[in-house]
Amino acid sequence: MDILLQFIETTGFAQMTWGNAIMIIIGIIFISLAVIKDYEPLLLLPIGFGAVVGNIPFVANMALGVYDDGSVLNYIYFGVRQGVFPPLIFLGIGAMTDFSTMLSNPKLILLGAAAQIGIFLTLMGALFLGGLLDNLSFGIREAAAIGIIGGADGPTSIFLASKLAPDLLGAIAIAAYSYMALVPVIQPPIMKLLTTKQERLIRMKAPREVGKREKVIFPIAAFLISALVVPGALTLLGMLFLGNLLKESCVTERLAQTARTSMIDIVTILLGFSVGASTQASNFLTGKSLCIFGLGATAFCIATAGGVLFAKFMNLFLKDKINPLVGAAGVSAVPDSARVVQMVGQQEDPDNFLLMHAMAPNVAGVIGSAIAAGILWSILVS
Amino acid sequence: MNSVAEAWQAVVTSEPNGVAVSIAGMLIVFVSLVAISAFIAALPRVLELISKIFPDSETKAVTDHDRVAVAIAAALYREKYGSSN
Repeated sequence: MDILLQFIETTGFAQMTWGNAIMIIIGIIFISLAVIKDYEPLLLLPIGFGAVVGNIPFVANMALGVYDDGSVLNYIYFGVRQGVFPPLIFLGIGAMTDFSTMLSNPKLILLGAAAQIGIFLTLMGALFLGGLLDNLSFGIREAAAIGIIGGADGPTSIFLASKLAPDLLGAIAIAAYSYMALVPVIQPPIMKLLTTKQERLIRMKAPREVGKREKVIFPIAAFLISALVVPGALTLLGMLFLGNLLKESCVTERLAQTARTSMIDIVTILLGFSVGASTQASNFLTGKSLCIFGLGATAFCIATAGGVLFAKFMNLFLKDKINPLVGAAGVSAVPDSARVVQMVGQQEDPDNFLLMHAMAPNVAGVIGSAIAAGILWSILVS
Repeated sequence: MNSVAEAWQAVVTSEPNGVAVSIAGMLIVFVSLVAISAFIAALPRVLELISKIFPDSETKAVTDHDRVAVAIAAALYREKYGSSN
C-alpha cells in the first residue's frame, strides 16, 4: 500500500501546479492554431507539443526535463542553448531562397534595413520599461535579446538570446515564433493605417531577368561584405549564403535539396520541440515573460511601420515609385510577410501582383536581422 | 512605479549607453545593406565588361557556325518534306 501511495505522489496529477496546467493549455492552443487556423504549423505544432511535454511534472531526481543535465531533452536542447540549430536552419533557408528579385531591384534592400529599426527601438523600450517598473529590470544584454524579436526571425532571435540572455531564451523564442505566426493579423492594420489608397494601388515595374553569374557571385560577395563588416554575423550569414550557393551553383543540387528539405525539417522539429519543452511554468510564467511578449509585439509593429514609412520616404526621390506596402515585408518572416503584402495589395487591386517585389525586402530583412544580431553580439559580448 | 525621467535614466546610463548602441547598430545595418545594394547595382555592368573578355554561355553571340547549322537543317527539312509555302 505504501508503494502504491508513494507511486501516486510521483504521478503528474499529484504534482501538477496551476502554472503547469496553464502552460499545457497554451501548448494545446498553439497546436489548435496550427491545425485549425494553419498559422505557421511547421513551428507552432512542435512548439505547442513541446510545451505540453515540458510541463508534465515529474520526480525531481529523474532527470527528464530540458534543464536537467543528462536528460534526453537536455541533449536536444543543447542545439538551442549553444546556438547550433539557427545556423542550420539558415542553411536550409539559403538553399530554398531565390534572391533574383532582390538582385533585379537592389534599392528594395534598403527597406529590409529600415525595418530593423524595430530591433533597436525595442532595445531602448526594454531598458525604459525596466527603469519604469520597480520589481523588474532588464540589463542591456537582455534588452538586446528582446529587441531582436523585432527582426521577425525566429532562428536569429534564438541565436542572439542564447548568446546574450540564455535565461530568457524560452520566452523570446516563443514570442518570436508566435508573432511570426500572427503576421497576417498584426501587419495589415498598420500597413493600411500608414498608406493611402492611391499608394496601395501603385504598380511596380516587372523585375528584370537575372543571369546565372550574378546569382552565383552574389552569395559569395554579400557574405564577404557583411561578414567583414560584422564578423559576429558570420555563422548565420555564412550558412545562409552557403545554402544559396549550393542552390545557385547548379552543381550541388543533391546537397541543396537535402539542405532545403530533410535537414531543415529535422532541425525545425528538434528546435521547435525543445524550445516548447523549455517553457516549464516555473521558468516561463514570470513578469519578465509577460513584458517580453508586450515588447515583442511592439517591436513587430515598429518594424512594420519602419519599412512602410521608409518606402514612402524613398518615393520622394524615385521616378519609378515603390508600392509602400512592400516595405512591410522588410521584417523578414519569410515568406509570410511577403504574402501579407500581396494580400493587402490585392484587396485594393486584384490584378496587382506584389509578391515578387515583396520578396526582395523580405530576404534583405533576413540578412539585415542577422547583421543586427551580429552587431549586438559584437558590442555586448564583453 | 518610477517616473519617466528615472526610466529614461535607465536607458542612457546602461553600460554601454542604450541610445548609443541603438543609433550605432541602426547605422551599421544600413551601411552593410547599402554596401550590398551598391555591389548588386554595379554587378551587371561589371559582368558586362567581364563577358566581353570571357564570354559565357548566357551572353555568347550567335556564331557563323550556328547559322550554318540552322541553314543546313532547314535545307534538309525542305528536301525531305518539301516547302510548306
